[in-house]
Amino acid sequence: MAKSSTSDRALGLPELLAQIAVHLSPPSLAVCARVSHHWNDNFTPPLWHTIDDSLYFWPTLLHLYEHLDQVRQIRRVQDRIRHGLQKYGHHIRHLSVTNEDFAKVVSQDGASLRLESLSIVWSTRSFNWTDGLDMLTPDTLAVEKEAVAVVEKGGILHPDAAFNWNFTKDDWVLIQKFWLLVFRVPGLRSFKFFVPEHRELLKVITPQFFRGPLAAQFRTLTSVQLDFEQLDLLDFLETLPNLQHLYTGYDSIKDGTLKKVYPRLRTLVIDQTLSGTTFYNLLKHLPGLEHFGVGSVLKILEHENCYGYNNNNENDGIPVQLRGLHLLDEFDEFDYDTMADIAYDILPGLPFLTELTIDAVYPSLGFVLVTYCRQLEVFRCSENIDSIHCDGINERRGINVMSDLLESCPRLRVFDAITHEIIPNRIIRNPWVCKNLEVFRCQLTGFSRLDSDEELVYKGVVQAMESTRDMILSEEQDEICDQHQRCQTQHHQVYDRLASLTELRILDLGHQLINPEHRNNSDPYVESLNRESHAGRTYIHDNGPIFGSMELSLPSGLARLRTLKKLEVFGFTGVDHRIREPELEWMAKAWPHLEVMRGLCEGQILGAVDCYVTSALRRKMQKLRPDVRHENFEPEGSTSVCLRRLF
Amino acid sequence: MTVILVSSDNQDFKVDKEVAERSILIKNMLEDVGESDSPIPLPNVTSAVLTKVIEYCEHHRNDPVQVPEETDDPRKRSNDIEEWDMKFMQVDQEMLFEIILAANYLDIKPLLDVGCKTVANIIKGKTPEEIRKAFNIVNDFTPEEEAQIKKENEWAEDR
Repeated sequence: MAKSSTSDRALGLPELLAQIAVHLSPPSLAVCARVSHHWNDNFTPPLWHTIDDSLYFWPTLLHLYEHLDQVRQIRRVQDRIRHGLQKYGHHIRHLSVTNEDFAKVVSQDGASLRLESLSIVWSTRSFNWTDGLDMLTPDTLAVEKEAVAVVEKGGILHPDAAFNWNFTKDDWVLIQKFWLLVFRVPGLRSFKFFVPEHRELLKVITPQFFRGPLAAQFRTLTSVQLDFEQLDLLDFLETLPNLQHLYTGYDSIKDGTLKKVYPRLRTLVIDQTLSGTTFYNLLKHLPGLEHFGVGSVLKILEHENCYGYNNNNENDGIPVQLRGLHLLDEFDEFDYDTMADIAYDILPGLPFLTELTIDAVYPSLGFVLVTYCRQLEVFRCSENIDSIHCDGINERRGINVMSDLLESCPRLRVFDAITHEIIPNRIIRNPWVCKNLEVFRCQLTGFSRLDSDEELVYKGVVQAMESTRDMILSEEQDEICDQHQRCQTQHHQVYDRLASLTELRILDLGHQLINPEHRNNSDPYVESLNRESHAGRTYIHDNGPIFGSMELSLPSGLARLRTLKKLEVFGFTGVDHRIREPELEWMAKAWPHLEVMRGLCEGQILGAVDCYVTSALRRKMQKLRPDVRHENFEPEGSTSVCLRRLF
Repeated sequence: MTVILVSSDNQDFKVDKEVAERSILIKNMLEDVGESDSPIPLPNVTSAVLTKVIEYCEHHRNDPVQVPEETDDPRKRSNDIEEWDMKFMQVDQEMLFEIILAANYLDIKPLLDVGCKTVANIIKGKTPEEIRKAFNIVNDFTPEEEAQIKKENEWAEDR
């Protein structure tokens, strides 16, 4: 306890408390706000600076009243949000909303907020929505125009006027309120309106705002994420002169080419397959582009120069500056030609590429990357394929091929390819040059592990040898002991390789993602899973751990990873890890910065409860390190994962 | 080239100019004064604290100038403290706050940052009462006020 007044003097200075607050997360800031009036004054603004209703206790809080009838429930939740916004809303600069009730309150009462960024995102919506908007008649367009005029004056067009359409009042009001809010919040730099399942919602009045007289009010925007296909890329570039980051959903390139240069755009994501010609036309007219997210790029036509862009007179020989290429399409084995085209035609034309995101891993990609892109710093392979336990997934796709990157790209910092597999012998045989790797997400499989019967034999031999020194082993026992020894050696060598990566922040060796489609209980895959009752609860087992994956026990050599002092995330979902209490105790001490553990969390299958052993281990870890969060694998598919990282 | 810094208890410290210039305050003073041998008085810093501050600046004399982080997303903030810095900060609480105050006065941003990170790490995982105890702070809330604040900020709880 400090007896002197030095701490009083220091902690009395608001600027120092603000500096300390920078290093605290909301849970700690909320505690600080309860220490004293002085601390409350200083820690409340940073606590409310960024509000994201998908984090911390918000999700639970917003569903707290589910047992009440619906009207009372909605009113209670909305009152609670309204109270918070009224009292503390002036501190909020970044607001991210995924809850419908939250969105309604914000659109109603949010105009006094001093927001810099606003994000409203729904992956699913409870409203019924049908496709009645595709055929807009002159009458409905007239109603839209009227709505725009009303919103312009700060109002909402009464729903009854619009009700010759086949959508709900809530939808109609919500979309108007969203735009009203965007107009009313001065200084808004960034907005995101993202309803991927229901893009039709945005067809209502949105184009009129962008192309009409109100467009001038968007001029301050620097970042827009609007998952909407009705507007052309040109609409955005012409309407928003300060735009730096744009996500436009799919099919936003209508006529194929740009004619003017737009130097400010730094990030562009269009989930659309482009021809090679269009791709290079965009690169030429967007010279400031650093990151380009695109569905896919088709082969450059034969009359064009294959490595065309650099040598093409039209672009004056200026090399493409692009640093990040992010291909969002899902590829399968039928797309092999496209994948090879991208590797051979596109990548060699991008000499400054340091980041690549791609769905598929295949030998030509590895070869081209290490030939033309040795400066690569970030490699991400999307995560949209099913669990490796699903049928068909065991057809291994390009096993080991990305090992090339680890062996050839010295600047590689991020190797984020959890669906990819590397076998231990490849690791042992070839040294890695990427000494500053910070993220390593990849499955290590193919260890010579003993199966359960062999383990019993091995244990029997060990016990017998403890009592009898000169024991003669049978041929089978001898072979099993040899295999165990080989496996131990493999483990030690792989551990040593991982231990040399002292900059690692994320080490994720596990992959057991269940595709959201498989979360439906009627799915044959989920139905096929074994169920087991224990202490009155039903547990669903998936098909066991990843075959031949790495053991993560202390006897196998886990303690060699004591060098990973910077480790923040450790993942082992689905790995045959053998982690038990001693291992958790070791991790709790050896990795002081550990924040997230993936492997002791509940399963993602609807209605499934995790294994009781896993539950017990999680409780143990929560006791040892309450600050470590237990989470599941990234719950969404490739596009969203990629976008989260881009924006 | 060296400069002489004078602590509040009148002790002289001869240090390399580039080391002293880790302090933006001293750097600006030297630029204002121009070529001069005059000692620089630091009336707010005792010799014990100045010794520590100079030790830090010596160790970090070749560090690149710190660029402010672009992001203000709290989830992206890092609380990493380098190993040497962590050992350097293993001092009693009195000295920790003395160093923070000196870094603030002398305008040495990286040292201030490390000091504030250290305090943040002390705060983490504690209850309000434990924080009050740790820093000798008087609770001036009524129980009702504290309960009300807890309720309003309930969303930020980690559970």
